[in-house]
Order: sequence, then C-alpha cells, then structure tokens
Amino acid sequence: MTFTSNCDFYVAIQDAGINRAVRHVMKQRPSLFNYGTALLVEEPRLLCSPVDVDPRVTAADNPMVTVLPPLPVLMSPYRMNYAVQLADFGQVDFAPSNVITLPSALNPPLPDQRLAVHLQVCGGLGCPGSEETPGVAPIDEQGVTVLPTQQLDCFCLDLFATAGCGIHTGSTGNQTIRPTVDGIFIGGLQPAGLEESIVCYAKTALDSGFLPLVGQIVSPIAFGLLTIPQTTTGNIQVSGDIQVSASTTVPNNPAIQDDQLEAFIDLDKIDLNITTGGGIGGPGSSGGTVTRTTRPRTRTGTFDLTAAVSADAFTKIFGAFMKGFRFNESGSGSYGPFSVSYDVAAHLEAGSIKLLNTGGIELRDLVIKWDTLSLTFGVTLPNVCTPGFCLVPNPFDGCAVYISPKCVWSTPPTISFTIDLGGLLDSKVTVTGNPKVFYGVGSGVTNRWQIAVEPVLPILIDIIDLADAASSLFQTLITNAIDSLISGLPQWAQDLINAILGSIDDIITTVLGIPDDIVEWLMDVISNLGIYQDLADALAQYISITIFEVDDPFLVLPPQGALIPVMLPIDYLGISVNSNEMVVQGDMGD
Amino acid sequence: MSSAMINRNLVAQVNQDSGLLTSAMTVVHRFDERGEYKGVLYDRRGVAVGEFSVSVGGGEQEKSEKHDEGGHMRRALPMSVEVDLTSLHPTAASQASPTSGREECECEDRGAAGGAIKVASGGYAVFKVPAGAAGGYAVELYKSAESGRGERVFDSRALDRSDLLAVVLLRPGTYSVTNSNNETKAELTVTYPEKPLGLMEPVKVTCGSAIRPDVIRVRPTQGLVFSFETPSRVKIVLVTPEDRARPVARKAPPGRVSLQGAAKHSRRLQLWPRRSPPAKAQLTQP
Repeated sequence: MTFTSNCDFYVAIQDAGINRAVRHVMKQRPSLFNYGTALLVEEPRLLCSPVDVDPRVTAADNPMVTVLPPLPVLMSPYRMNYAVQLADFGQVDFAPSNVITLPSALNPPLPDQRLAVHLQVCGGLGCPGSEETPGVAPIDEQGVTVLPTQQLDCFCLDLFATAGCGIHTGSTGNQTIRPTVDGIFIGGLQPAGLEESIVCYAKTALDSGFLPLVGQIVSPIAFGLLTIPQTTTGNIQVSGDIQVSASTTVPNNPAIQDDQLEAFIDLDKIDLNITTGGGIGGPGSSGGTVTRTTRPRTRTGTFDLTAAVSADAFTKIFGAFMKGFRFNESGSGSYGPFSVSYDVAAHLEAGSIKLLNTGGIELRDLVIKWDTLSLTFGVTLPNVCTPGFCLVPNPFDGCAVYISPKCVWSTPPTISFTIDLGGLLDSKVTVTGNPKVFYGVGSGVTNRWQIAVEPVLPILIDIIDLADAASSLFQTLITNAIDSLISGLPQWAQDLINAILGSIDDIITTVLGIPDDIVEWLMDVISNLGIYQDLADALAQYISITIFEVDDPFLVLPPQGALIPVMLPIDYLGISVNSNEMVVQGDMGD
Repeated sequence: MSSAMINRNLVAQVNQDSGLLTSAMTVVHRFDERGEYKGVLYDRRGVAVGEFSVSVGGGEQEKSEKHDEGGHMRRALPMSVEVDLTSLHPTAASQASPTSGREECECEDRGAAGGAIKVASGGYAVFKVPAGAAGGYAVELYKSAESGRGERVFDSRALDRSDLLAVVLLRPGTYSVTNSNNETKAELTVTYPEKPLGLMEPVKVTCGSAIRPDVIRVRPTQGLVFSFETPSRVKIVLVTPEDRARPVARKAPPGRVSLQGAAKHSRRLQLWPRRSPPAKAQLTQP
C-alpha cells in the first residue's frame, strides 16, 4: 500500500492513539477536566466521579479541581457549593465505528468519513442539611455565606456527537480545516424540550465558536509556512521553511476512514539554510550526551501515528539538503620530490536521489563541483654546475687532480608554483545511506527518538577526467617558476642555465621524474594527498545528520506555575523505505 | 621560492688572469721534491695576505697504507690536495676548510687551519677559489730554508712546466688569450649556449714560444687546460661579447597530450570514511 500516491505527505492518526493521549492529559492535568468550589479542592472525596491522577500530580501537590465561585442562591445572601466534571472523555471513534455504540437518535451506524465522540459529564450541587438551612446559618461580614454541605447531589449525563471535517480551499498557505458537528445527543435528559435546548446550545457553540477556533489554530500548522527549527548534528546546522498545502487530488481531505484521521498534503516550496562549522556542542547545544540504542515494537496492529513522504517530495527535500553540502579542506603532503600543499573547496550539484526498495537512499552521480582545487608544488631543482673533469689522471687511482664543478647557486634552488585544477577536474560521487531509528538514552538530557541516515560503505567517487589543459597549465607554471628563479641574470646566463637544465620536457621527465602523462600524474597527486578521502569523510558525516528527533516523553503542555508538565510517552518509532515513499510509524505509550 | 643564493661572481667575472685567481681558474702545481715549503698568498693589490706550509714527503711508497708501531693502520699521504685560497685569507668570508683531499679523508692535520698541508712527493697542490668568492689571488711557493724562505718553486703569475691551469668560461663571446710574460696571443671563442651541452672533453692549450693552438673554440662550461713550456701568466679578456635578444615571452612547450583516448583518466575510488559518523554516541542537539 502506498500512502502518498496522490500527495507528497501523508499523516494519519488512529482513534485509539487519540484516546490514549487524552487519558494521559486527564491524569496529568486533572484540573482541566474538573471544576468546582473551593470546598471540592479541600474535600475531593465529595466529587461526583472519582479522579484518576498520575502519581506525579499527587507528589507535586497539584490541585485536581479548578476553583470556581460558588453558585448564588437567588434573592438571598447565600451561595452553594457545586462541581462540574468531564468525568470520562470517553472515546473518539473514526469511521468505521467500532468503539462507540451510537444512540438511535444519531442514526447509527456512523456514516463514512465521520467521527463520533462520547463524553460523560457529571455535576453535583451541595445541598445544605437541616442544620445549615438558610436563615439559620450565620452570615459573614461581607454579607455572603456559602452554605456548608456533607455531600453533593450528583448526576451524570452521556453526550454523544457525530462530526465531519473538511478543508476550505483558499490560496496557498491560507487553507483552513473546518470541523463541523452533525448531531449531538444527550441521554437521560427530560423533558425533551430541555434536552433539545441544551443540544441546540451546545451545537451552536461548537459550530460557531469552538470548532472554527480549532480550525484557525490547526490550519496554519498544517498548511502554512512551516519554519524548521534549527537542528544541529556534528558541525552542521539546518534550518529553513517548508510551504505545504492540502492535496486536491483525493476525494476526501482530511479523510476519516480505517479508524484513522488522514491528511494528504502537497509540498509547494522548500528553503533550507545549511551551515557548517561551529563543531559539536555549538549554539543551542544542551551539553548532555545521548547513547543510541534500538528498541523493538511491543504493540501489534495499526500504528497510532503514520506519516509518509513521497519519493518525489523526499527528493526535493534531500536535494535541497545536499545542495547545502560544502567541503573545505587544506593540508600538505609530499609526492615524489615535491612538497605539495592544497586548498580545496567543493560542493555537489545535479545527480539523482532515489529511495530504494532495499530500504536505502541512493545519491547517484552527484557532480562534485570543485570551487577551488589549488595545489601548491614546491620542488628542489638540481644545482646548475659546470661539469667537473679530470685534469691529471692517475693510473693507480683513477684521477690525481680533479677540477670540481662550480655551481650557480649556493645550494640547490627551490621553486614553487600553484595550480588550480578546480575547473578542470570532472568527478562524481555516489553514496547510499540507510535511514534508521534510534532510541537515544540521554545522560543529562531527556531520552529521545532519533531518525538518522547511516551511510552504506564504501562511498564511490568516480573520477571522470582531468582536462588536458591541466598538463599545459602545469608546464607553463613550471616554466614561469624557473624563469622567475633566473630572471635576475643576464640573458646569456639564463640561456646557459636553460641549456644545462635542458628543455622543460626534460626537466619534467628527467629532473622531476614526472611520467609522460602529466594529467595522470596530477590525479595521482590528488589521490595521494588524501583529498578524495577527506571528501568522503566529510560527505559521510554530512549525510549522517539526525533528520528527526523527538523527546520521549514528548511535551504536550508546559508546566504552568506549580502544575507539572503534561508529557506523552512515545512507545515506538519505526521507519521503512521503498521506492515510492519513506514511512515513519509510531505508537503512543500507555 | 628558493632561498638559495646565486654565486654572481661566476657570471660577473668575465675576464681572467692566472695572476689573479678567481673561481673560474684552478692552478695545479706538482711537487717533484720532498721537503718543507712555505706558501704566500697575495691579494688583488699584490699585498701578502696569508701564509701557509706544505710538507711534501713519502713518494710512491707512501701511497700504500702503512702500520705504525702500535700496529694501527695509518693513512698514506694524498697525491693531491685542494687549497681553498679564501680560507688562507683571514678577512675572506669563506667558511670553507683550507684544504680538502680528493678522498674527503679524515686526514691528520692536513685540513686543520695553521697546520702544514701534506702531500706525497710527486703529488699536486690544487689552488682554487670557491664559486661564491670574489678571489683575485696570486700564490707563491718557496722551498723552506734553515733561515726563512729558500728558492721560489712556484708563482701563479709565472706558471711553468710543473704547473697546469684549468679554466672554465661561461660568458659567450670572443676573447683574447695572452701570455703576458712573452706577449704571445691566441683567439678564444666561447659559443652561445643553444642546445643541451652534454659531456665535453676539456680543450688543451700549450703556452710556449707561442700559444698552441692560436685559435681556440669552446662551448660554455667546457674546460680549458693550459700547460706551460715557459714561465707564463695567462690573461683572458673578453673582446666581443655575444648576446642574444631576450624572448618576448618564454613559451611553454605544447601540452603533453594524454596517451589514452577519450575519458582517458577514468577511475573509480572506493572510500571508507576515516571518521565514523556518530553511531552509538554523540553529543545531543536540541
């Protein structure tokens, strides 16, 4: 099954995952779901429905109830205690319905492309006993008295709703998600007029108040210009913008089917800013360490979350990422009689990026554009000397008197010259990487799920050719260097030195030991200096960047005053790649 | 670029005089008799600027190795000894050793400043000026007598049968060669360096009642060896220099075309990164 046949990105959330997430929020931030007077904060046992809280809430002494003012008693100075609880958020059930049994008033079964919600709302009023009846209880200094109570008179209502979801087509970046309520049913409420009034009120409030607000909040996130927060791996920083819009080539978007809410999104524009340098622990680093481990999936069946990116979109994104690759290196070495220092800068262009059915990403034949490939050669020439000769032969010992050579320089002279082969070297690189998911166990930082690309070795660099012009250039530079060396001498002396040294061809071949094929020799120099190896090292480090990272547990609501943060555990994250798309799937923890 | 210094005297000292020795001239004197000799070095002005001693001993029988009383092997006297004239001149800049044997031997006191220069009977003293020095020296040798100098046996200003003069000229052009002691002359041409010089045998010249041959042609750096039948002072003076115009721009040879055909340098490198990408541990990034 291909998720992205009609879009660039696909995101699906399973109803079971949403239900798990809501339960986590209810347990970690109960005051969002329970309201009442101050008495209920002091006496939570009086609540109509017991509250299940996370132990961290108790440990932090967080309140279970948000305090509301007591209920006024009409035409009296008295107030009454009360509580309102969203006792059970119940469930969200995406079509086909298999979680919620809809009441007949909502015309079950749940239609296609619809969702159902079940809530249980409980309320209770603190009715005073005979000893606390109005007129008997004292009135405080402000003239107001909250009537004490020993218990609340409670009731609970089951609320069922069905809804759909659509996308209002607007200009790119201005599309909006429009949730709409189809119907609401509140069971057990009599008389009928009361139920109808409350349902009407609730539907109107949802359709014209709450749900448009939700759409306004969610829509820019889904279809607006997304800013990629700066991420850093090694010395590589990535940031940028992604512009997406809703796909219009699918019949329903978002779609509610297969127990999931699915969104189909197209990639309109991507701008990545990639910088290198600064090293590990650069700006924003929190300084801890993460040890990568692997963690298998424990749950079975449909994933809570599925996200996919099409091969085309991935190619655009990774292509933009690869355009940011910059290779800068300098160093020195020796080759034969030469000392060689180099200064190299390169980037990558063209080539193809493919997702493979084997689970990898192939970057094939990326052209290495050598912005600079500057080699500075230094070599010591032989001194230019008059030939020595034997003046007085010795029949017993070869030569009795030898006339020693006289040399032009005090020591053998050195020449140096720089050749830039940047525009002359034609080369390509092919590298494959496997995206993998790691569970990072943090030390000094939170644990996290990470998706990173592991290069598959070896990296292949194809040297296509070095232009023959390099040979001419090399010879010209040697010629010029020698000319410069002897330029201070009279012409006859320069001619004499040239006659002794021989032609440039002779110098190159005989004196410097460079074989006939200078181009081949230059390529050997580049290889032996380790420039290609340096490039492979840099490339391997570049593509192994952490492309996605999420903390476990994941922060949903930040701490608010003394209230603890609300965190969602991520039980599993996995990745798979085929030639059509890259798919990331995950499970919410219990 | 190079920090090597050009020995400019090699280029600048065009005219030569055996009475004013430069690096282009080497004078050789053969010692036919054993004994002790005193040498005197004169500068360009004719002022004595240094003295030295030469001890001539042994002879052919000392060419072989000997053993001293302790049974240790003792090196024989050399058949030739090079004398760097700048080292005998206290104010000369040369740092060179005053003498050096042909064999670079660890000679006893032969190379030590102030010690006698030792050479075998029948051997040679080779007086020379190193390439970096200006020179301009004359040398005389006297047989040592019980009181002071004895008979003069050598004078670089009057080279004789026991002497040889080696000259190497670089500057192309026509020279006059004159034995100033008898005013005999010859014409010498140093050809222009146009092609690789290769190996060249030295040209022999004899100074007697005439200079033979009287027309001499050598290539630059080719040796000239003068021998003498009569006391001679050889002066070589450039009469007509030969110069060529400087090329507008020296041309590099045409590029050497690759030996193979199209896509001739194709090669594939399989590279394993040296620095493994972060796999197990890394610093975290938020």
